[in-house]
Amino acid sequence: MVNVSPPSSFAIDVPNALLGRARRGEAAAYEQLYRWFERPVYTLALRLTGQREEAQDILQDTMLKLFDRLSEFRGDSPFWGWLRQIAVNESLMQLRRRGRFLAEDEFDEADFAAPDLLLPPRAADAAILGQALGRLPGATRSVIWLYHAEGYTHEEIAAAMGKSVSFSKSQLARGTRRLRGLLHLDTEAMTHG
Amino acid sequence: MVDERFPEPGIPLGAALAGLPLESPERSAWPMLAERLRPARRRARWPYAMAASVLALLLLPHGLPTSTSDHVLSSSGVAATGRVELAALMSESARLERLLAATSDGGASSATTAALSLEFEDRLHALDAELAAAGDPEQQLALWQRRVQLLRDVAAVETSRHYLAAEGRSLDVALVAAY
Repeated sequence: MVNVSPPSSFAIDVPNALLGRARRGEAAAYEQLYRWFERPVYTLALRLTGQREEAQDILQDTMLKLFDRLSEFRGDSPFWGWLRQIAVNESLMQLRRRGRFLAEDEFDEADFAAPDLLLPPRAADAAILGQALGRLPGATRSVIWLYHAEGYTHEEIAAAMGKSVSFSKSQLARGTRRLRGLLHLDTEAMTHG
Repeated sequence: MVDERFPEPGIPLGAALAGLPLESPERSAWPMLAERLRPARRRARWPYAMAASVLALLLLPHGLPTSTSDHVLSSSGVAATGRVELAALMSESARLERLLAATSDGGASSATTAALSLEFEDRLHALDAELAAAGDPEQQLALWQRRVQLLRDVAAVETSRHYLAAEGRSLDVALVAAY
């Protein structure tokens, strides 16, 4: 299945001049970076952990790491991707701390068949979809979010989570099926591919 | 009611997820981040540390006024009230920094105060390095308590210096007498 994702909310082009000012320790430049990425970082953390207070902590920790490590950013990839990876790592670390990571288990090939779910407008409503997403287990929700909303590949998800590619594929398929149930969708009418 | 002859169009799950609105945090993290950035920019301006508690007791019988109650600085359980305590500590830290910025002479009054200044800076930077690495909320709280206590000590010395100067005495002499 080809994953054609809309652009990530992180995809903001940051001028090199602003990064240069931040590297020199200019507080106004750091503040600008914070303002631009506050909501993308917080939203990603909230989607992965499902907890507002944890997302608040992750926002803070991610920005602190940004400040501490900015000198390590080489500029050979977009800044937003580098920052997003910090936010993903912080969020997954939080899930790990809380013991909300699933153990690797046996996978059946049938587990990997993730139907390309089509939602009727009523199910795509932000409140309804957000609520259903929040009821998924943390690791499953993380895989679904990273794959669909952030455009990660299974290989990238596996690397970030310290799991196998099979784990990522399996979680995506199971999570998609579970979402369909939570959204009370008619299987036949709402899947294709 | 949906007309079954014209089924609803479907929205791919990925597009629906990516289309969810961005969420906003309940409080901005910027004030705390700005606070963390501040010491690095001002390190060369702060004088004094060490011996502060002794001086405060000797010269200021009632000590410095503080807005943080004693229980905040105890090391009791953190869980429920930890965030409130942390916010109070950060606030007091910022207030003490403002006080120091207003009263400090940059360590220029004597060799003793310059030496104390270096000692204070070293301690503060060591604390900030620990804070940057601390992930555990209890550990963070303990470090912020130490940071506030350090700033209080420095503020006590600084206030003592002004107090002594008003009486025509010297901080160096007072330190020698105290030890």
